[in-house]
Amino acid sequence: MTRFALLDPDHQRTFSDLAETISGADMALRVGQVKAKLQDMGLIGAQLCVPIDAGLGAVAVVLAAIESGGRTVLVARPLANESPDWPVFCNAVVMPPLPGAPLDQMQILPLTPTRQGASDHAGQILVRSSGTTGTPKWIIQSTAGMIRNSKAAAERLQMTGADRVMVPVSISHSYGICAAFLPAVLVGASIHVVARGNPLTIFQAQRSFEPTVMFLVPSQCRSIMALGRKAGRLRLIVVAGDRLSPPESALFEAAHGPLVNLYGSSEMGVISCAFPDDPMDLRHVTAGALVDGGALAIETDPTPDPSAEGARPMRLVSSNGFDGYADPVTGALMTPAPEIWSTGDLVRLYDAPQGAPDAHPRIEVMGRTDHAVNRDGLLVHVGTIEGCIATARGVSLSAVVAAGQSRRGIGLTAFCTLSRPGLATTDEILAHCRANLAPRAVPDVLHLLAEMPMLQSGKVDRRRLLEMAAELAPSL
Amino acid sequence: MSDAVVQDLFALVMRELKVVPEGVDLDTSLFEGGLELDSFAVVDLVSRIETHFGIQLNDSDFRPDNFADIRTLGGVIATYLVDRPKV
Repeated sequence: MTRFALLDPDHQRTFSDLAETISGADMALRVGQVKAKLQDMGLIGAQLCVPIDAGLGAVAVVLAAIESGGRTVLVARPLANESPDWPVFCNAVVMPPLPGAPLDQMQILPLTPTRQGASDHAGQILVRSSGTTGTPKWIIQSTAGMIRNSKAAAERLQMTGADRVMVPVSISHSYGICAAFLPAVLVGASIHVVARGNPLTIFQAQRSFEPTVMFLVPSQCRSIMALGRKAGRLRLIVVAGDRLSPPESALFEAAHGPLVNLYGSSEMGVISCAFPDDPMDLRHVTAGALVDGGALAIETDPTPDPSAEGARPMRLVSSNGFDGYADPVTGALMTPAPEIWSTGDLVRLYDAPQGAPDAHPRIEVMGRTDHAVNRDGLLVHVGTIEGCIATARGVSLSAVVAAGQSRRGIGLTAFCTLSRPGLATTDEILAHCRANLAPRAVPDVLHLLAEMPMLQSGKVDRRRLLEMAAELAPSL
Repeated sequence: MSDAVVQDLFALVMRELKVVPEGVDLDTSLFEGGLELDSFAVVDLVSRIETHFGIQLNDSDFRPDNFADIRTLGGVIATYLVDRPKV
């Protein structure tokens, strides 16, 4: 029944959520119970949809589904008031018990007639892309490739069985599963899963679990900073997603522990990550070097754009686990993975620091290629502008979109929210930009918003901001 | 003391909400299915409570169950005020 085991019974570890803490051996028992149930229902090797929440039931189900060797399709558990939108190609939905509830409350909902042991689906994990760059797609990764990538991430982060890893990001997304959850599983670390939620939840979990490693996205870092409480210093804080500016990273590091940036995508999993031993400035500016394992290499542009000031499109030659995209109806491979994968991001490469054990170039991710615009004959990266606005007094979140035209070239419209109403004016924030940015990078327009539109993944909804920029433009 | 604090807190929260959902009362959840406060709104609420009531919440009180609804949170705040000498 078991194709392989992710949990090593010799590891002295715990699994916990906000409701309970169990040993690694008890988790292995639960995984075995889920697999026995799948076996009873003829679902070993089938396509299984696993709705993920921040509970140990979901942890047991996802481990069992992966170990069962079929296709594991990861989705976020729908909220109580949401109607589920299950992927129709799955054979069944394996609904974990709610956090704190016993495992026998797991439900298996058949969707289509079971195709037991379908060989074309063997050993695959499907995640949904974030939708940052368009309609979400189903991404097929080979389980073996994802595990190889997770092992490389664990090695880069120097994770060991002695670590206590807190995961307040969803393991239904690539960051949560490839960078945080599977690496911690594979090295035998103790794991605490926490709902993404608000800073109170994270703070409470941090106090009770006492993690050594924590995985966050920038918006969580900012709300933790705004809360102004400290709950012990960590060995390592890993941040991925929209980047924290270096000054924000330095502030967070001073309060909570060494911070490394991690860069990845739903397709490629973990692409690069800072070395914990690199100097702080380099860790905060770059997302380190490509993770090891020999699965990735940077494809460089032989004729770089001189206006880009060293920035180049990031393309990867990959033998990672990315197989391609699945048809949303049949689940079959619809678009195979290309040999050279364009991440869609602009990067700048730095030499490895002298004396570093790894000579690979460090990668600064400057933002998406389509988030860089030509103004005054040179490229301007919206990430740089956003980082500057984020350091203005009173600003909570910021985002910049290219919209319309200005006398410098393509227009730049900035949006930001304040940590409290009235803390800053648009004039003050623009003055901060003028003092800290090249003239071409100062936004043409800045709007204060009560709330930043966000995607479910926690990233800013830039498509909505583009619409808002167009809506607001006539009144300027 | 607690009832007065709860009413005071209710008024404070209502003043700060951009949109007040129908049927809000002291037992409405501050989060999912209720006022739907997001992470930054929670931080803002903490800051306003500490300023308005002149208190500093202990780290041990930063627990989601203490922030379940206005009545519960008001009860927590009241424990900080109970020993305060009246001026």
